[in-house]
Amino acid sequence: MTKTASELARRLSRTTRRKGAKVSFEGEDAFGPDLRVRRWRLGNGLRVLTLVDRAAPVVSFQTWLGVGSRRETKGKTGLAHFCEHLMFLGTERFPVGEIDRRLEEVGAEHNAATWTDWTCYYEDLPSGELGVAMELEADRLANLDVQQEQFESEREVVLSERRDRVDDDVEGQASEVLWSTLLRRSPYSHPTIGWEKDIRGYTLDDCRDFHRTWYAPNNATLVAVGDLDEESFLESVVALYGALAPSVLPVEEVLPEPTLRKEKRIEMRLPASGEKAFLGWHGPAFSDPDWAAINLLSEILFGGRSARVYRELVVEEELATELSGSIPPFALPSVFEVTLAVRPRRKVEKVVERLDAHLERVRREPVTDDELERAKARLELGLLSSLETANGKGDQLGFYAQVTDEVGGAFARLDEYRALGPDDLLRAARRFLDPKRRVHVRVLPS
Amino acid sequence: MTLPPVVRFEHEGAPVFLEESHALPLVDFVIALRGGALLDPPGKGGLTRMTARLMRRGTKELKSHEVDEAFARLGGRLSVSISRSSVRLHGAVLARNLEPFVALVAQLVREPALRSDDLARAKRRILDELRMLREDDHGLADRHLRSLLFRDHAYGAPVGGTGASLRAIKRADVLEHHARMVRRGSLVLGASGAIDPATLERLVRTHFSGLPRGERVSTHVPAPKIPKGRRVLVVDKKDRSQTQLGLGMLGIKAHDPLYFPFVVADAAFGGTFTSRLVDEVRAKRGWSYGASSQITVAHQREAWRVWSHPSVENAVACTALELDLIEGFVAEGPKRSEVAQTKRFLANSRCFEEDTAARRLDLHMSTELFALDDAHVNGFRKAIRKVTRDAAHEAFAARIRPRDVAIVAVGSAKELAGPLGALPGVVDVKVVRHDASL
Repeated sequence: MTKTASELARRLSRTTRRKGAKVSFEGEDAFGPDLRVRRWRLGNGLRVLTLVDRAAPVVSFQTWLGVGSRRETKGKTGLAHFCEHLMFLGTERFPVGEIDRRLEEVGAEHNAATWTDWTCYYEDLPSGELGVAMELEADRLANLDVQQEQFESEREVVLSERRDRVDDDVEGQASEVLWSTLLRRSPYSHPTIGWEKDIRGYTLDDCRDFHRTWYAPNNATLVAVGDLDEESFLESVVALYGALAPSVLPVEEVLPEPTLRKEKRIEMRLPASGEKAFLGWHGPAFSDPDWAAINLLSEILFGGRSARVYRELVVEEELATELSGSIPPFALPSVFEVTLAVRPRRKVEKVVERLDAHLERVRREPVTDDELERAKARLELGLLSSLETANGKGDQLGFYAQVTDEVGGAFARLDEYRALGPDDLLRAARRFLDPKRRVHVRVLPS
Repeated sequence: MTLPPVVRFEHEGAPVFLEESHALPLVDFVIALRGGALLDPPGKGGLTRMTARLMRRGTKELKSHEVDEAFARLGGRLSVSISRSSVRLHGAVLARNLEPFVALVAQLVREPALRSDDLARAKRRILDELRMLREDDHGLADRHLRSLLFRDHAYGAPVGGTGASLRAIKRADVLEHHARMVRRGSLVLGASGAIDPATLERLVRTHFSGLPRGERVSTHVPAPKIPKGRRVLVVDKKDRSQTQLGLGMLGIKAHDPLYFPFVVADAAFGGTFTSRLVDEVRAKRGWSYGASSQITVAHQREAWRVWSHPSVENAVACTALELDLIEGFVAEGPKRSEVAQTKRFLANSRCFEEDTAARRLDLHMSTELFALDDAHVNGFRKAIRKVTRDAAHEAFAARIRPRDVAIVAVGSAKELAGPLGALPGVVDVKVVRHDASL
C-alpha cells in the first residue's frame, strides 16, 4: 500500500515543474481498527490528509489553518475570527454570495470555526462534488477580496455574534472575566471573538495583512474524508494549490504564566437566575501527559449523574442545579474550569466549600478503580460517537494534526486514557488543583 | 453507491427497524412510544415528560444512582426526549456491552420503580429548569411565542408543563400514565450500528415480549385556529444588548398536499445562507448574526416561525422588515432562481440525513411515528424536484397569513412596546415580566 502511495506521489510530481507543487508521501497511519489515513505534503508546505471511507456517499473536505486567537496582537483581538467571517464574502472570481450559492447548489453543508489555536473551514458534500469546494477554498485562500461596505456590514454581524455569545450571556461574561484574570501573559487571556472595542477598531487593511500572513499553504492542512477518489483528489490539490507561495510565519513568543500565590476573588452582578461560581486553575497543555489525567479526573468528578461530585451536589443533595468541569484541548497551558449554579435559597459559598472538600480529597487519596473504569468507558463512547460521520472523522484528523502533529492522535489518546491509573490522577490533581492558586468568580443575580 | 436496505420486522405487533453498520463498535438502541405531551390530562401538563424522566430513574431492583452507575460502567447513555406526539428513549452503547445495556433499558421501560422520592426530586429539578429559563432569552421567547400563537390549543401548551401543572402531579398519576404509555400498540423499536438482525430479533424477543396489550393511543387534536391581526408580546427584560425576536404563524401539516412545495418555499425564504431573509437581515444590513425560518411538522398545522436577534436599536426596524419580507413573499412568491437554487440544495443535501446508520434509523422511525408515506423517506428527492415556482408560491399564499402573526420580543418594554405597537396591522400589545411564573 505504502509503495503504491509513493508511486502516486512521484507520478503527480512529474506532472508539474513547479517546486511548490511537487508531492511527497509522508506515510500512512491506522485510524481505528479498519481505516487508514495517508499523509502527503506539497513542496510549498501544504499538508494533505486523506482517509477513504465508503460507508456513505459523502465526503468531508476541511481546510485547517494554524492560526487562531492565540496569534493575535494587543488591540487587534478577534481578528482571526473576523477574518473567518470575511472569507465567506468572496474573491474577485467568486464575488459576494457566490461561495454560499455554489456550495448550496451542490447540497453542501458548510461553515467554519475559529478557536485559540486554529481556524477550520469545512464543506460536507455528496460524493462527486468535492471539486466545487476545492476550487472555492483554493481561491479564497489566496485571493480574498472584500470591499469596505461589506466589511462594515460584517463588523455588525460579528458584534451581533458577540452580544449573543457573551454580552447577553451570563456564562459568557463570567468566563471571559475568569480567563483574563487567571491568564496574564498567555495568548489565551483574551476571548477568541475579541474585545468589543477591538472589533470596532479594525480596518480592512488589518484583515488583509492578517490574511496575507497566515493564510498560506505552509500554515494549512487539507483533510479529505469519505467516499473519494484519492488520486483525482490529489491531482486537483496539485493543480489548485501548487502555485501558492508559502509565507514567512511570525515566530511566536510565549512567556511562562506567573504562578498565582493566593486565590483571587471577583464578584459580578449579572441578570442570572441564581447564584453561580466560576473557578479556574492553571491547566496543562493538550500535549502535557497530565492533560489526559486531568480530563479523566474531571469526568470522574463532574461527568454526568454518576460522577462523584455531580451525584452528591446536584442529584442527591440538590444543592446545585448545574455543575461541570472542563479542560480545553489547547496547544499551550490553559485553564481547568469548574462552573456551578446553586438552587434558590442556597448560598454559593457553601456549595463551593463542599466542592473544595472533594477537590482536597482527590489531592489526598486515589480515586477508585470502579470510578476510573466508568470514566474511561464514557470517554470511549464519546470518542466513538464523534466518529460516526465523515465530518466527525475529518474533525479529529485536522484537530490532532494542527494541535499535536499526530494525525491518528484520537485513538492514541484513547490508549493513554486506558493506561492511566489512580496514581496518575492523584499526581495531576496535586499538580494543578491547589485551592490557593485559582480565580474564583462569584455571580450574584442583579 | 447503494445504501444497505433497512431491516424491518414486527414483534407482537410492534414495528422494529434495523440499520446495520459495522463501521464502529457502537450501537444505538431506540425505544419510541406513540403519544407524547398530547397525552397529558387537563391540569397535568408535563405528566408525559415527568413519567418518561422517572422511567430513567430506577427499577424495582435498582435505585436511581445504581442505574446511572450501570450505564456509565457499560459505556452507555440513555437520553429521553419528548415531543407532542411521541416519547423517545435513545440509548447508545459500546457494542461489547449491548446485551446488558438492552436488558437494563427494557427493565426501565417495562418495570420502572416510579418512586415517590424520585418524583419529588424530578419535580424540583423541572421547576429549577423553569426558573433557569429566565436566563435564556431565546428559550423564553420560544415558550411565549408558542403560547401567544396557539393560546388554549394543545400546541400552545409547553411540553414540560407549567409550575402549577407540575405541582399537581401525584405518584398515582405517573403510575397510571406509565400504564397508558407503555403497551404493545404504542411501541416502536429501532437499532443501528454494529448489530445484526439475528441479534436484534433475539434481544427484542427476550426483553420486549409480553408487554400489556393495548391499542395505539390517539393523539388527535382539532385544527388550531388563531385570531386575526398581528399581536405583540414583549417579555420585559432590562439591560439587554440585543432582542430575541420571534414571529409565528400557522404553518402546514405533514399530510398536506402542499407540504413539499411549502418546504421549498420555506427554505428559499429563510432556510439557507443564501435565503432571502438571511440576505436582507444579515448580509445587507448586518443586523443579526442568526436569522432563520423553520417549519414544525405535526398532524395538524403547527407553527411556522421566523427568528433573529437584532440589537435593541434595530429590533423594531428588523421586525418591520421581516413582516414586509413575509408579506412580499406571500404576494409575489419566490423568484424562479430562488426556487431552482433551493430545490438543488434540498435534494442534493438529503444525503446528510442518510449518511450514518443512526440518521437513517431516525428517518424510518419518524416516518413510522408520523404515519408518513414513502415520499418523506425514499421519495424525498423526487418530491422536491417536482416542485415548481408556482407551486411553491401557491403553498405559501395558501397557508401563510402575514397579517395574522404572533410577535414576541425579549427586551426592555419601555423601548419596544410602543414602537412595536405602532407597526402596521398590530391589534394588540401585551407586556409580561421576564421573571413571571412559567
